[in-house]
Formats: sequence, structure tokens, C-alpha cells
Amino acid sequence: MDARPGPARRRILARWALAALAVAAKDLRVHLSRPWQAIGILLVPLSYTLVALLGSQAVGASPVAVVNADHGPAGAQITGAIISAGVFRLTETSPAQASRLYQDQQVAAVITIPPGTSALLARHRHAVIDVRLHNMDADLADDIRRGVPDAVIGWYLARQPRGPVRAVISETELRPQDVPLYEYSVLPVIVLVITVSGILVAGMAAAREYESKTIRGLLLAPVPAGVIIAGKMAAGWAATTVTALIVLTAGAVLGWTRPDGLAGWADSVAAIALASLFAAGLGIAIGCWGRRAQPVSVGATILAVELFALSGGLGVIFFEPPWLQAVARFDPLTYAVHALQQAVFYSSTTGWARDAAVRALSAVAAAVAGTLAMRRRLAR
Amino acid sequence: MNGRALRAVWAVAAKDARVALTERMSLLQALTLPLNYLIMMSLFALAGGHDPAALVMADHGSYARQFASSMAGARTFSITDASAQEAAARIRAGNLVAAVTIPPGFDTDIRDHQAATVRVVVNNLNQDLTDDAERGMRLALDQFYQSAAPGQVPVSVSFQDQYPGGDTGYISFLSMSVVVISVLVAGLLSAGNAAAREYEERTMRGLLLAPVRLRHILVGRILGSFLISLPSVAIVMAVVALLAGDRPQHPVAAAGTALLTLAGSCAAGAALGALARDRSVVAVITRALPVPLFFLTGVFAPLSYFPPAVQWMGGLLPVHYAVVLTQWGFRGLMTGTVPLAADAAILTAAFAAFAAAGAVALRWTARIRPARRRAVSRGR
Repeated sequence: MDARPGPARRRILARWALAALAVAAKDLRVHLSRPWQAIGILLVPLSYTLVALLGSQAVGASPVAVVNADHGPAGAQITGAIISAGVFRLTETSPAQASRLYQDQQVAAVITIPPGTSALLARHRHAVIDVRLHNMDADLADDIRRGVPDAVIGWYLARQPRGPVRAVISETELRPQDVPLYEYSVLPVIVLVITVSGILVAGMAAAREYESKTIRGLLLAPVPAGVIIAGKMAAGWAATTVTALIVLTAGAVLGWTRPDGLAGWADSVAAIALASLFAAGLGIAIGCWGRRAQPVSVGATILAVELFALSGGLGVIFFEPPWLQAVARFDPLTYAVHALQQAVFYSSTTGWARDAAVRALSAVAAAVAGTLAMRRRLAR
Repeated sequence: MNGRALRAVWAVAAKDARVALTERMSLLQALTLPLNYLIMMSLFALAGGHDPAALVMADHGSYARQFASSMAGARTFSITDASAQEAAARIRAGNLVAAVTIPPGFDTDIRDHQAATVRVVVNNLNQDLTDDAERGMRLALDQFYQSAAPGQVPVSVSFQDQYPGGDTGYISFLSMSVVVISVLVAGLLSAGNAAAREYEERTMRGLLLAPVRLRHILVGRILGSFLISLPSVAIVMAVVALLAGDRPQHPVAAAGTALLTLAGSCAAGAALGALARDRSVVAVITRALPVPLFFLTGVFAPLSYFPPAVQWMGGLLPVHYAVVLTQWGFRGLMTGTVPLAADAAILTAAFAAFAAAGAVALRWTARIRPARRRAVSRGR
């Protein structure tokens, strides 16, 4: 039996495809004529990049002053160990200057290696390093409380001591290379770009039809509401995919997000395309249900950011508290971030099928919600 | 200001407040956007919390148990006991930062003064997590030496806290800045929308033709936006005080800073709305410019701990001084580099400057219809 559609059916399908294409082309033209919208799409993720970068810098190397009042070898060795620990941005200075820096809030702590430390150690006596600490927030204070003993034990073990207890740590890393934090933060930002762009472009395209009352004309067109939705989704999907690919390519040029080979690029493009489909569907649903620009704007600023944060945009969701992980399982962006990370950083297909299925199903669900909203309007 | 001027100011303020109350979506946005930042910052703080680690105890001797408690005291890990198979499965699934194994014979090796090796597998997803796990393990080793063989490590560290009352939790520290961003966003959105709405709905012409001075319209607009923003600011302050535990130590300073910042952001919003004349542009600019800049103002740590370029940019932003005053008002923290009175003076000057900018923007708006203005003057 021939399963192909007959000529009449093919003509109808072609007409629907043309109608969807016309809707998509019109929406894309309107989007391109609104530069503020394009700027808004990029600036929201930029602000979160700033959050991630400044945040990681703030919780990273704290500025610290070191006063080495010991003139022997031990003081120099311990100072060297503190420098090589890589936890602090160090200023080696005099006691008076260190006090000034501390009073002026230029350093978070002053580490003082007291005079006579080398002499004490030579006589097998105990020495104490003093740390004066601005403990204004627990995170910053803990960094210093961990960093200084870390340097001291590093110095001690480097001397290959002979004591009653000899315990050491042997470390194995799971992956061949570490990814720097700022590179790691770029992929969730690309997913945020996708979400904001999808909601704004597709959502505004739908909402504007209601605001300008052109929706009546659209709904009177001799095509099903699903075709109009498909056209609007296609516009949102195309604009979003292109924007995200530009950001990914810029990251690759900078050497931050470089997928491994052709397969890595194909995986990344597929991940972006599917995530864009979901975001465009979500935008359509919000635009059709809200019928005004403001709900879309709220969705793009608030909902997108919540979904981004829950997906592990500011950390690794699998290391968050269990209740947060449970919530994140219902966030489609979690699977988008995971898919992109596997494709770009780890050249792995772990969870590929699950990630793709969740995003495709979410996109279909969002598109169905949008179609229902439009049908509701038609019924009225 | 005479009675007629006061009546004009109040009429504009009351009208703006009434119109704003009819726009539920704007109110929702003004309220939820700051809460959004609170949630996001809390997630950021949670992400920087303790790393999940599995501990495989293949030896249950006293030294092995001491090592386990040293790990727990290392302020780095959230530890769960696991079998070797469970730990391997969990690290393969990506749910752990580290799997730590205390091998069989650990106690015997320590007693025999042989090297006892603790094995660690690190899930090196990114550099930050890897560094954290490595430092945490070294700190655990340091604490183990101190408990198993006191005095064997000949150097110890003594900490002297600046704030003897204890550290401020990271979420509490970040939450104080959320009050400032809530004030900033609420003022900009309400005044910006009120001003832009007049142009969108073409009611600005009528307002300009009214026999009142432009400055009275501006003062009325700032006052109306100020009043309509107060509830959302109060709600955010209550949330921060009740949920994040930030009870103001200097309530007058905390409230005064919030009110002064709100007045400044309302004045800036009035200028922005008059220039943009489109609420969607106001929304885009509000989230695209002040919000990213906000993160340069010492939200994560004192501004003086950041690189000079960030310090320079942050120092130019009035919000930085609001953040400093708020941190002092709530927790008594001194995070600025100038006296508190200077912070307050800069904030007041910023309010005056934004009000002047609003006046200029309104005057510029009025000048584009000089014929109508002259006609009004002649009639009067």
C-alpha cells in the first residue's frame, strides 16, 4: 500500500509550509528591526557572566599581606609555601605597612611570621604564625582559615620530615585535564542566552499580535493554528540558534569553548538547536497566554534566570543539596547544560539520549501549550 | 513651594501611583526581580559550599577514625560513608567531588612508623573544584597530624578575628546587597515606567500643557514612584531580615540608606523614562545596565579586594556607597574605604545629580514643542 500523501494532500501541506515560512519570515524581520531587543538578549546573560566571574574571583584569591619578621631560613620557606599555595594575592611587606593595608581594607588578612621562628625550630621548639583576619563573611574567612594551615602542612611535608606519624595523600584525577572555572561558566551562559532569546523573540512575536490586534487576521487565515504556531516557533528557533552559535563560536575563537573535532561540533550544534526549540516553544506559550509584552519580558528576566540558576548555571547541580537536585530534575535547562558540557569539554556522549529526549519533549509540550492558548482565543 | 505647587506635585504623584497599581505585571516584576537575585545569590553561595565526598573506610582503627574526623573538620567536604563499589559508582555518575579511601592496614602502618597512604579520586570537572578538594585533603592531613601526633608539625597558626561576634554567613552577607538592588530596580522600573507611559499613551502633551512648572511634575513623579515602590522594598527587607537572618544593628542607618537610594533610583528612573519613552526599552535598560554594574560594587566582598580596574569602576557608581552603608547598617561591617559620612554625602549628591538629569530630560522633552508651550504661556 502506498503510504505517500496524494497530490491534494501534498498541495495542502505545501500551502501550510509556505504559510509557516511567511509567518517566520515576518517575525524575523520584526525582530531584526528592534535592536534593543537584540541588545537585551545579550546583556542579560552578560550580567550573569559578570556574577560568575566576579563571584569566583571574590571567593578565589583573597588579598593578603605577609610580614616575615623572621630573618632565618624557616621564615623564607614558610613565606614561599604561602606564595606557592596559590590561594592568596600576596603583598610581602613591613608590619607598619601591613597594618595600614589592613585598616584601609586593602587586604583581608595579615599573616605574621614572628621573629625568631627559625631559631625556635632549630631548637625543636614550636612556633606560632599569627593571622589577623577581617572575618566579615564566612566564605572569605574560611578561605583564609583553610589556606594558611594548607601552606604550613605543604611546607612541612616538603621537608620530608622524620616523625612518629607518616601519612600522605595519593591523588588520582578522573579526567585528563582540568577546565578553568571561567571556561566552565561559559556554557551555562550560552544556555541562558538561548532561554532569554527564545522567550523574547518567540514570545514577543506572539504577544505583539495580540497587542496590535493583528491576531484576528492571522486566525482568519485558512491554515490551522498549529501552522501559525509552527511559523512563530521557527522564527524564535532560528534567531535563537544563530545567536547561540555566534556566542559558541566566539568562545571557540577565544579558546574557551572549543568542541573536540567535527563530532564535538555536531553534538554542540544539536544540543543548541534542541535547547532553542524548547526556549522558542516556551516563549510562544508565554506570549499566547499572557497576550502582552510585559509577561514575556518578565518571563525572559525572571523565569529564564530561575531556570538557569536551577540548572546549575552558577555551580554544578550534582554537587548541590539533594532537595535542589530533585527540583533541578524538572528543569529542561539542566539537560541542555549537561549535553553542552559533555559535547564541548569532555567529548562524551554520556546521557545524550536522555538529554535530547527531555528537551524535545519539553519543546513539544511548550508548543502544545501555545497552540491551546491560541485556540482558546479563537474559541472566544 | 506654595500650596498650588504642592497640590500639583501631589496630583501627579497620586495619579502615577493609581496608574501603577493597575499594572499588576509591573508590580510583580518590581517585587520578584530582587527576590530573584536573592534566590540566585543563595544558589551561588550554596554552590560554593561543601563539596560532596564519599569516604571508604577499609580500616576502622583509631587512626583511621581520627583521619575521618579530620576530614569532617576540614570545612570543605560534605561526607557520606560508602563502600568501595558505591563510591566508584557515584563518582562515575558525577555525584561526588572526591572519593577518599582509607586503606586496610592504615593503623598498622602508622603504628609501625611506615608511610600510610590515603587514596583520593578527584572528579576534576573544573579547576576550582579540584583545587578545593586538594586543599581540603591537605587540611585534613594537617588536622590529622595535630590530633595523632601533637607537636610533630612544629608550626601552628593562631587566628585573631576582626569581628569577635563571629563570621557573617555568606548568604546573609550577599542578602544585604539584595536590599540595595531591590531598591535600585524598584525605583528605576516604577519611575521609568511612569514617565515612559506618558509618551506611549500620548498623555504627556496634556501634562505639558498643564499650568504647572516642569519641576513640580518631576517632583510629583519621583514622589509617586517612591511611594509605590515602598511596599516592595519593605517586603524584600523583611524577607532578608527574617529568612537570611540579617537583623539591622543600626536600623536608622539601614532604613535611611534604603530610602535615600530609592529616592535616587526614582530620580534616575524618571530621567530614563523621559529619554526612552518606551516601557520595554526602560525594562531592557534597567536589567541590562544597572544590574550588571551592581555586581561591580562590592556585593561579593569589599570592593578594595578586587583588581584596580574593578575598584575604579565600582568607585564611580553611587550604588557602591549604598552597599557599604547597608552592610554597616545591617551588620556593623566596615567594607568601604572612606568614612561613612562621606558615603552618605556621595549618595545624597547622586540623588541631586539624578534629579537634575530628570529635570533636564523633561525640559528637553518640553522644548520639542515650543509653539505649544508659548501658546500656554500667552494664555496664562
